[in-house]
Amino acid sequence: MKTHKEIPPGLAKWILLRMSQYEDDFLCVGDLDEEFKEVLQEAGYRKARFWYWAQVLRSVPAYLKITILWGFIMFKNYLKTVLRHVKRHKGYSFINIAGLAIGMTCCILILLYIQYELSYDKFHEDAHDIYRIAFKIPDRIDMNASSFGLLAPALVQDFPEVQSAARIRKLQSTVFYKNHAFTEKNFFLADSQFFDVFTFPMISGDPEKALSQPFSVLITQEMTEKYFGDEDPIGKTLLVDNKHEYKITGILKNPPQNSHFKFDFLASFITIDKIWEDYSLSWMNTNRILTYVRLQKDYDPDDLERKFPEFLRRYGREDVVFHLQPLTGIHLHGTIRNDIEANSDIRYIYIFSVIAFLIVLIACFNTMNLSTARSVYRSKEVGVRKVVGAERKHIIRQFMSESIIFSLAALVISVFLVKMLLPAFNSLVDRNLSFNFFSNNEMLFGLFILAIIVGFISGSYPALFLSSFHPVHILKGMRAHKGSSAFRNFLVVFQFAVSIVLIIGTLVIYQQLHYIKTRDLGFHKEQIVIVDIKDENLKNVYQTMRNDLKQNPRIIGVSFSCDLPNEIDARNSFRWEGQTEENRWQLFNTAAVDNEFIDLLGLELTMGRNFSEEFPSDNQACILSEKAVRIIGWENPIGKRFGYRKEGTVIGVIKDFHHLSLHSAIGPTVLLHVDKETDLNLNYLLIEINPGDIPGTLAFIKKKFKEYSPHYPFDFTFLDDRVDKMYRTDNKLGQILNVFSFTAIFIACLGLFGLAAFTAERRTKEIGIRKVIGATVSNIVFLLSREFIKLMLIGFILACPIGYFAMNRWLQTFAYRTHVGVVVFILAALLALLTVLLTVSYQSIKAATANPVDSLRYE
Amino acid sequence: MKELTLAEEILLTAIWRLNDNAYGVTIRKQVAEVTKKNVIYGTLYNSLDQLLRKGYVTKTRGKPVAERGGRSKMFYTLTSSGMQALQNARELQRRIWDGIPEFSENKS
Repeated sequence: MKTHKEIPPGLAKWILLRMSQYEDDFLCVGDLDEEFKEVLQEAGYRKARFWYWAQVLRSVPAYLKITILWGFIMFKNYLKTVLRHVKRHKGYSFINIAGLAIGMTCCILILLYIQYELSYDKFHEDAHDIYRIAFKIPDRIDMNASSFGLLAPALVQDFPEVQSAARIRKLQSTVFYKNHAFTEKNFFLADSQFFDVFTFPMISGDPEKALSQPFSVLITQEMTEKYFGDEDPIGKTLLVDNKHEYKITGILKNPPQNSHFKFDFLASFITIDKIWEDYSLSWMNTNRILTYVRLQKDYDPDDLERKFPEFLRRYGREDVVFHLQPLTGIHLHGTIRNDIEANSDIRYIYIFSVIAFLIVLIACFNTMNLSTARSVYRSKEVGVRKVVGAERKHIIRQFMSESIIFSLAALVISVFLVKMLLPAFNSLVDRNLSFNFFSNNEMLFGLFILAIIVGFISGSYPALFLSSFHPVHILKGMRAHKGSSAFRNFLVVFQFAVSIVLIIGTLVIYQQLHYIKTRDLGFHKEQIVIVDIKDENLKNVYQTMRNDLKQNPRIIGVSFSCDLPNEIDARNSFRWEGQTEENRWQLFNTAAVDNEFIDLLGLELTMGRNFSEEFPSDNQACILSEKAVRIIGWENPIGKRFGYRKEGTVIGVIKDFHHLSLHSAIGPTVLLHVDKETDLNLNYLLIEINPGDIPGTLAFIKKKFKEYSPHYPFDFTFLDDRVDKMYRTDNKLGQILNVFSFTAIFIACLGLFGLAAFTAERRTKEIGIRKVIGATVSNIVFLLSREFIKLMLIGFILACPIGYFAMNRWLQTFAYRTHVGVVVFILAALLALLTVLLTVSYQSIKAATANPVDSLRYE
Repeated sequence: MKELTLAEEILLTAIWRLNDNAYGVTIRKQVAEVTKKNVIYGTLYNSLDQLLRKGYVTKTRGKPVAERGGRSKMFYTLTSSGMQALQNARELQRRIWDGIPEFSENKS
C-alpha cells in the first residue's frame, strides 16, 4: 500500500508531465517512477525526493533545447510555405501586405502625433508638481487662465507647500537693435523665480540673478542669431518699443516645441510698473498675468485648493474661486480665456486613437477576409499536413505565424512610408514630429508589438477556420465551409460602416466650414487691409494720416481702432440710468473705434447716428448693439446715460454682428470712441482698398506708414485671412478626417478588389453556363456586384445613426451651425456606391466578357 | 560513415550489453556506472531520440507495468547499422591504441 510518503513529489511530477507532453506516452515519467521506488527503498524518502527533484530540474535545459530546435525547424517550413504562396499568388499577397502596410502607416503616424501631444510640458523637472492658477467668479467670469498680480508673492509667503511661484506676462513688442526693428510676438515678462518653477536650460548667464533687475532681458539662441549674428550679445542693450532699454543678461536655449508657451525674449517681471505708467500690481485685476507654482514634491493639489477660500478671504477676494491646473494637462484641456496659445483638446486625442484603431482593424479584416475566402487553395495543404500528423494546434500555429510574417513585412514597409510621409503629415497636423525608429526604444518595441497584434488578429479567424477542416473531407474534394461566408459578410459590412461614418464626418465638417465661409457676419471682410500699429505717437496725428492716405483714389476708407470687428473680446461692466441690481455685473464686449469704423465695415445702424466730427462731445458717447439694448431693456435708448461711470450718452444702435468666431454666441457689444481716454492705444489701422493693383496700393500704404512712423516695422494682414484663421483647428480637423476616410476607404477597396477577384474566379463555370444560356454582360456584372452592394447598404444603414450622432455632437461646439441634412447621407451613400462599383466592376466585367468556351472547356 | 561520438558509443554499448532488457532505467544505470556520473533522464532521452533518427536503434513498446504507475517500458535494440557503427568504433579504438604499451601500475 502506498502512503503519501512513498510517492514522488507532486509538483516535480507535474513539471515533468508538462515537459514531456511532446514525447509519446510519457516514457521517462514511468522510468523515474520506477527508479524512485528503488532509491526510496535504499536511501529513504528524503534522499529519493531529492533525487527526483534533481532529475526533473536538470532535465529542463534538454527539454528547452529540443522545443526550440523543433520550433525553429517548423518555422523554417512555415516560412518556406509562405514564400511559395506569396510567389504563386502575387496579386493577393500584394493586396494583403499593402492593406496592412497602409493601415499601419496611418496608425504609426497617429501614434506619433499622440505621443507628441502627450509629451507637452513634460520636459520640466518634476513637471507633475507644477500648476497654473486659474480662477473664475461664479455667474460672472468663466474660467480664466490669468490671475491677480499680487498672487504669486502671497502664495509663497502664506503656504509652505508652495515652493516657488512665477508670474509671466506676454507682451507684443517692437524690438530695435542698431538698424533692425522687428515686431516680436513672443516677448514675455517673467519673475526671477521663473527658473525655480520651470526647466529651460541657459547657455550663458546666471539663472538666479538674470531676471532680478528691472530692464534685464534673456534672449534665445534663435534671437541671438537674428539680431546679433556672430556677436556676443551679453551686456548689450536692446531698445524696446522705441523707449525702454533692456540689458541682455543671458542666452537661453530655444524652448522646446512641445511647450504650451514659447518665448523668444524673457524680460524681468519687475519691469512691469516701469513700462506702464500709473500701473501697480493688485488684487483687483489680472491684466493677463499668469501665475505658475511649483508645489512640494508629490503634494496633493486638492489639499491646497481646499485652503484657498480662507486665503482669498484674507485678501478680500472671497468672490473668486481658484483652480490649480496641472501644467502637463494645460495643452490638452482646451483653450480658456487669456490662454497664451490656442491649446489642443484631449477629445482630438480620443478621436484620433479611435480612428487609428479602426483603420488598423479594417486592414486586419482585409487579411482575414481574403485568407478565409481563399481557403480553398490552402485546404489541400491543410489536409496533407493533417494526414502526415499535424494536429489542429500545429495548423493554427502555422497560419498564425504566417499572418505574423505578413504583418512584420507590412511593418517594414510602413516604416519607410512613415519616413516619407512625415513632412506632409506634419503640415497637416501643424506639428513638428520626428520619427527616429532606432533611437526610440519605446517606439521600436511598441511597433513590434503592434505588428504581432495585427498579425494575431488577422490570423486568428483564418487559422481557426482552416484548422477545423477534416482531412478526409478536404482530400476527397469536398468543400466544407458553411458559416464562413456569414462571418466574411460581417467583416465587409463593418469595413463599409466605418468608411461611411468617416465619409459622413468629412462631409459634415466641410458643410459647416462652407457655412462659416458664406454666413453673413454682419460686417464686410473683403478688401480690408489691417496694419498693426505699435507707435503710440500715431494717436496724436491719426486724423492727418487718414487724410493723407485718402489722397490715393484706390483707398476707399480708413479707420483707426483698438479692436478688430472679429476679435471684440474685452469684457467690461458699465453703469447706466435705471440699472437694476442684477444687471450690475453684466459684461459687455467692448471695442474702441473711430468715426469711420462703422461705415468702413458696413455695420448697420438701426437707430440714431454714427460718431461724428461735428459733435466734439462724441468722445464720451457710445453705440450699443441691439442685443445690448435688449439686455438693458430700453424702449428708446438714444440719449440715455451709459458709461463706465455713467458719463456717456447712447447715440446709436447697430445690428448685432459676429464679434467672435461662430463657436461663440453673439453677446452684447458696446462701441466706444477711441478719443475717450488718453491712455487707450490705437492698435489697428483698417484700410478698405479697391480690388485693382493691390501691390501698388500696399506699397503706397507702406510709404505713408513709414512717413508717420519711421522706426516701426510695417506688418499687415487682410481681414478675411484673419477671419479664416479663427477656424484653423476646424479646417485642420476637416483635412485630417478627409485623409483618414480616404485611407480607410482605400484599404477597404483593396480588400473588396481581392474578394471580387476571388468570387469571379470561383464562379467562372457558373458565369460560363449563364452566358451560354443567354445572359448578357450587364446581367452578369449585376449578378457579381449585387452581393457587394447589398453589404455596402447594410454598412450604410449601420453607419447613418453613428455618423449622425457623432457629427451632431461636433456641431454643438458651434453656436451657429448647419444641421446634418439628408443630403449628407445621400452623398455619402452615392460615394460609397460609386467606389464599390468601380472596385468590383473591373473584376466582374473581366469575368463577364470572358469567352464561355474557355471556362467550360474542361467539363 | 561518420564516426560515433563518445556519448553515442557509450549509449550504444550500454544498449548492446543490456541486450533484451534495454529500457530507460537500465540504460541510465548502465551509462551512469560506466561514466561514474549522474545521468539525467532529459538528456538521456534526447540522445536516444538522436540515435533513433540516425537509425542506430529501434524501439518497441512493452506491456504496461504496475510499479511504473501503469506506464509501459520502451525497449531499445540495436539495428544492423548500429552494430556496424559499434564495430567500426571498436576497430578505430584498436587502431588508435595499437602498439601502445599498457600504462604501468605505479603511475597512477
